[in-house]
Amino acid sequence: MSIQTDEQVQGRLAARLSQSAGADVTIEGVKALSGGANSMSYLIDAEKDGQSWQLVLQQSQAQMPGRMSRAVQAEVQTRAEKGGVPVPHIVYVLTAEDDLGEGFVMEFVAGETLAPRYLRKEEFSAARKAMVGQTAEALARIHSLPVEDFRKLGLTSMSARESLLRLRDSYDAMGGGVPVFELAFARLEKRLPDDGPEVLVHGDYRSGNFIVGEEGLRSVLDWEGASLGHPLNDIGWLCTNTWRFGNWQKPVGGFGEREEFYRAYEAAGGPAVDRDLALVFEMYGSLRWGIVCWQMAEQHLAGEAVSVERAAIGRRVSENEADLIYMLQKGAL
Amino acid sequence: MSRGIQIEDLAEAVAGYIDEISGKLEGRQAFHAKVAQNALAIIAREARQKPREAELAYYRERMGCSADEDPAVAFAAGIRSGEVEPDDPDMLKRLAGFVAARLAVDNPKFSTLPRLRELAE
Repeated sequence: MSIQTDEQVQGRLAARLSQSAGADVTIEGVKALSGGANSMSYLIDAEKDGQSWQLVLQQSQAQMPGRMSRAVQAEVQTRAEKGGVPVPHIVYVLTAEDDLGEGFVMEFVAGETLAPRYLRKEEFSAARKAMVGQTAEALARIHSLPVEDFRKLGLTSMSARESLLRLRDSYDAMGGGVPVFELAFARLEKRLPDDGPEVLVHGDYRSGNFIVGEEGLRSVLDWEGASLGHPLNDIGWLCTNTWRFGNWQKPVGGFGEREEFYRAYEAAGGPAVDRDLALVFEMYGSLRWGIVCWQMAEQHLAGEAVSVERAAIGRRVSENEADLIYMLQKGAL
Repeated sequence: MSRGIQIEDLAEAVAGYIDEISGKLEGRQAFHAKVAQNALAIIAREARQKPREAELAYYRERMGCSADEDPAVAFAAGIRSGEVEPDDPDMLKRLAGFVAARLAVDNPKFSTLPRLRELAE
């Protein structure tokens, strides 16, 4: 069923939204925002009691094997909101009767999501300053949410060392044979801990998954990679060079300094940051992204997702090799 | 005397053609046209700079590879088994140079490239 063209589908969704909002909701128009083979997102121009109400529908035809269901994702996002994390408010979770696959509807949050824009444009210079503290505080709140609630939702828990071994399995499955990756695996196997604090890990907390206004952070997006694990997973990933989008002198997401972020995170109630170990997690971030780039190119080669973009991303592996070999010698990038 | 059309010349000719037609494209097609031009630029640079040769020769020599063995795979296996010392400063310096050579082909504007070249000197 297509939400874009089918008025019956739109009418049914409007009725559901009316029910859950306790108001009279009509759908005026639907526009595709982005999407691939299985996952789509749409901007819905709705009216609630005659007032304009912009919504986003995130929808998949079917749950991807091994991926979090959209219903669980919506629940994680809702609990984060209740814990004081800025996220788009979830309005409705699709059911089988909606005949739209699985997904959810959330309120549209206006702002810039393209990191190269908010990291470079003059009009965002105040936002960049504010974001160090704001992203630190939001992450401290995520990491303070009660872990047991998320375990009951079915989120899995993994130590940092276990995640590394899993990553190495994926790398081996593709044939391995990248010397710099081997060196990084060898170093990280010695340094990544098997224990440590266990928190809700966002899983993709970085520039590119934030909605930013001129005053700074408005919303944290993309909760589908959430799991339970070491808090430095999120801090290391946020500081991974790829997500600085060329602003390498600003290690925190391309907009801030590490020490300022660590202090704001601790002051907002986050667990104490082991400064040396945080850098080890940055190395892990580069290794993880390098292997993801390779996996995306493999999907092109295997005929699963054929495009020039997927093929070309395979040549981003050397960017991560560069970051890794630099960190292996200098400790930090 | 002309050396004829080389693979890098062909790649650049195709990139030029995409440039001519890309003004008529929109959305995903326009984006993929840019990606395609970038891919053709990688092909041209790789054909001229041949970044893998010195790297593979180094691995081959270090591991004593036979002709049908992939030297990078053999060297990676040597790191995993402990046969290659992972903290050897000379090896790390050589690898920094090899990665810099490939990065100069794949993405010469990447922020880490200048610092990596300093490490390799």
